Amino acid sequence: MLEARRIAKRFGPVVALADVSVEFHDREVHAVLGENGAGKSTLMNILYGLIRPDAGQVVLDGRALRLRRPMDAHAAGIAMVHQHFMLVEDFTVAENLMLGHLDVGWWLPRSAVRRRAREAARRFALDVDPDRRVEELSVGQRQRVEILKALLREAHTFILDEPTGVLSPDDAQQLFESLRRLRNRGARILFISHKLNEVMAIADRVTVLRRGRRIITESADRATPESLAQQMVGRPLGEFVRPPAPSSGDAVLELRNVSSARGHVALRDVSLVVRSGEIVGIAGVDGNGQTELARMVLGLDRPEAGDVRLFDPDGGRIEPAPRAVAHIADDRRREALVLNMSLAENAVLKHHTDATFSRRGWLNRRAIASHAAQLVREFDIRPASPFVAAASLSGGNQQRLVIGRELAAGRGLVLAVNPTRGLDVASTDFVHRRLSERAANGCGVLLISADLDEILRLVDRIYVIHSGRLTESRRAGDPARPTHDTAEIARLMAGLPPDCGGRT
Amino acid sequence: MNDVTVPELVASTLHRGVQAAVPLALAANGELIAERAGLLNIGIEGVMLIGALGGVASAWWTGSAVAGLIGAALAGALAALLFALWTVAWRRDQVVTGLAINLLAFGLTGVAVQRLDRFAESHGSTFVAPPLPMPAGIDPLATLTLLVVAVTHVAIFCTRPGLTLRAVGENPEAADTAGIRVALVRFIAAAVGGALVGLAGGALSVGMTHRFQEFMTGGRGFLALALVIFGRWSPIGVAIAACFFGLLDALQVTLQPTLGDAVHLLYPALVALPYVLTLVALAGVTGRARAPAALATPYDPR
Repeated sequence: MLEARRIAKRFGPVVALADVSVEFHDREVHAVLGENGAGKSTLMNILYGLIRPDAGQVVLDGRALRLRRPMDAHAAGIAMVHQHFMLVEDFTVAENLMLGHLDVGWWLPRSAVRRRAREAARRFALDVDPDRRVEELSVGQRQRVEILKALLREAHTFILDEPTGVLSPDDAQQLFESLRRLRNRGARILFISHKLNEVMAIADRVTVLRRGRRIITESADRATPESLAQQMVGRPLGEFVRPPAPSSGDAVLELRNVSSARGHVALRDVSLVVRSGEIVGIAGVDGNGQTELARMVLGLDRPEAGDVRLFDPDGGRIEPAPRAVAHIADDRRREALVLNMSLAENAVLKHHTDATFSRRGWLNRRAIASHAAQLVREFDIRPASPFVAAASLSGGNQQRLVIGRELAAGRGLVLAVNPTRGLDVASTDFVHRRLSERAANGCGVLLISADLDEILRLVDRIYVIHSGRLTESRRAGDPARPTHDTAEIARLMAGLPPDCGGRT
Repeated sequence: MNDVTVPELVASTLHRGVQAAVPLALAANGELIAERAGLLNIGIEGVMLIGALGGVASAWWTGSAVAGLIGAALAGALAALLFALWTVAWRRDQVVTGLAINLLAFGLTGVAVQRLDRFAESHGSTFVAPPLPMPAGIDPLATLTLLVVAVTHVAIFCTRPGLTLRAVGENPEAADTAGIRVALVRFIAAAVGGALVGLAGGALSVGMTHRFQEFMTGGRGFLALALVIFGRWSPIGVAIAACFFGLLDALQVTLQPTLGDAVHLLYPALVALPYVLTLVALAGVTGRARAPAALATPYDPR
């Protein structure tokens, strides 16, 4: 049994963990649930020797461990599969597996490692070719390499930090299969997540953390997604569902037969309309032309054929340009923020040349600070200091900053690309409410998301994108409350033709 | 050109080419080792210069050219450790630190050699290195260089320390979580690489001119920097590139007398030829070569 005993940790004034005790049994998958900032990563990092606790002990089979570095954890059979994989991309799988086994001689034991990798792969459904280079592997395969690394180090405790966040549904299923097999052979698996459905599917027991405290540890059979969500957030939380608001307003964005072979995926004859007051969703598996479509709407790429039209509230045509659209970018850390600049500087980044914020090339510091302070208040960004670096904000707070900045500029079109990826329940809810509010205030919202649930909850109309082609999926059924046909959307996402036989 | 036969001309050109290639190959291999660990030491010219001076100084002091070469390597290693102290221990910018080392080395070696000249004179001696022994007519430096290239190549690609080195240069974070001490590996790589760069300087001074002159490296360090890219971060590739440029350099010397009066016009162009070709080749080659992913990036484990 691995025990965290009365662990406490502060970072400056912030209490990350306060007197947390958890027991992790052998032969179990133990999920640790919590919102961003609840302390689950801190706890895992303590168990892995990356962070030293201020108080408390880590006890393995009755023996207190001294965990000062990850090496100490390895020696105790504790391994971690990081969210951002710790692999050398330029190396083969086998080379990655050999790295850091300092106990063997000078020459690289290539054939032995290959053999052991194949053996472990077969036993635990972790198939991956040891001679492939990591950069050629898919995300799911890379994760398998990480698990293999831990196995070859003879780990007994596996810590997985949000392992499914980046996986396709199929890869996630395969991961679960591997984890079950590992557990059945006696391994102890610590599974960090905030996806409730997954936790219910794989975990034997669940621990919920909130604001650095342990709220509950219980058997997964006894928990329900609703009860867990409530314990995570601290209050009952109905999932936000936006009532459909079909719009007959003016178009704010119109694409007519747009084609372009630029980018990784060619857009082919794409037509779409977004009217003021509505949210239009684009569903699809990542990498089917979403990036290319977004660039087109932002005016970053010009169509080779067809037409992209953007309209201001008076119906006049405006040139598509990044500054003409409120853009909630896919990768906020790279596309939306300059992480080394302050919150205040980021808050005006796209609009710093506006007369409010600068004159004749000189920045108006006071106006910028007061604008930032207003965003901080309105969008509940923490820490509430305009001068902290954007890099030091949590993911949820970074996204609040981006949304605050983009929505404050008052553009007619909002383009949101995977706006809740990596966010916890409360931040996701916040983002959904803001987007919905914008639509109610007369904006047109184009929501491109790989999360079909998100789309179904928010949008009025759905297009599915596959291999650069758009297909509209219309509501059907009861005319009073028409619903989307999710089976049809799934077929379109997979590139299959819509079910023609079903409707006549 | 009257009494020299063509085979003789070819032989002398080849000989001169090898001589020119030796310091280039040594320096480029030293830089390569550092770069494989993620350290871009553009102070290589300065390190080489320090090695050249350290080499002559120790050869003069001990009266042995071999001791001179060892001294050159030690001086280079120390200069490179200075670089590592700034960039690894204190995480300062590698380009700025490299520039500083160059300027420091240009100035310091100039001042030092004047003092050493006077010091040697006051002892009734001259500040020069004795010639290297040539057992059985084998060029010891060329042989050493071949050995260094072969050992480096095998070590980097076939041994555990090589894998560790490459991992640190590609993804220090992954190396760290695998239990590798990134800073230590970088210090060692800097020292070993610096020793080779210093040895390259020693090959110029102790091995060829037997004395130290200000700026005697004449841009060979910077050329070596380009050769690492040229040879795609592989020791054998780098050695081939060094031979190519060594030969080019020798050819330029051989061709000079045949040009007659045009020499005044063409001499500068000929001297520039290796560098111009470097530029041309780099423009075409770098697009396909891949540098270590963490090159010139400090690692801060927090």
